[in-house]
Amino acid sequence: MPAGVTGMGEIIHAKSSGGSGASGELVLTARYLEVDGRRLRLRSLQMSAVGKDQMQLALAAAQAFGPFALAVTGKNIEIVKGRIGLAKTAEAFDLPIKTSVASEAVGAPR
Amino acid sequence: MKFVNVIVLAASVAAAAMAAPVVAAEKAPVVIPPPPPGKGQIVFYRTGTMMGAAMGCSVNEKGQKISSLGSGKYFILVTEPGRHEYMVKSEAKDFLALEVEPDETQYAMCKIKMGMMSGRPDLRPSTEAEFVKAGTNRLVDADDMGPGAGALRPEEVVKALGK
Repeated sequence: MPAGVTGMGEIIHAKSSGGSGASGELVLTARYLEVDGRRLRLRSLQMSAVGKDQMQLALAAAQAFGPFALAVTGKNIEIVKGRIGLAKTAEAFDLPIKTSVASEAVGAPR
Repeated sequence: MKFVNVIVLAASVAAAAMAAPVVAAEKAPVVIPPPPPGKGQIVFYRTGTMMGAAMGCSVNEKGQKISSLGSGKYFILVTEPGRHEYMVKSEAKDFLALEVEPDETQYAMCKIKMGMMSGRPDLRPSTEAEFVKAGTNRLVDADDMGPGAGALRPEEVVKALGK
């Protein structure tokens, strides 16, 4: 499969960080890759993430500042470009072997 | 005086001996059975922290209670593949949507955060590694499950494990 193929994913769940130290949440799924004009269906992407929660900090702040500690928020999550996620193929999928690659493979020592 | 010390020492050793098997039993790793073929499952769990320990974290779907989660407990929900939205509620609501995949196990954790009048449950996505690290190893009692279907009762977990 050539590097740089594009595909489609979906955001299943997104929640920004909130009061009382609650962290941000993000659940993604992968739907398919576009390969040679065909769609290779994907499943089981493992890429849910939560930001750092600050609940302990909020609890500590409550001792000093009372209900104002509800304003302590957790951290949001950011999935940066280039992060690797693992997904499974959802079906058998034949890929054409490029001629140049095939000829190199024939000539290669075993 | 020495006699008293010996008695105290003996009592301590006896107490430690009695406590040891309990500790060992608590540390036994939890084995999660695979979901039935074609179905998916979610392990909902809660850590055993003191924060909101007296509160239950009731997990609902489509307005129907699936199960309550006490402090340090977990349950396994077997369900159909697809998108599902779960809700926990006390003085505030929190939602978590997950994509259930066939033959896969996912994890979700409930935490109780500080609220104005009482604790507020916070439901978030989690992982198997976090579940293991949390050390949650007590299955929710059957009495706390339902009426919504799907949460495996203790006997169903034993059956699924093939014991």
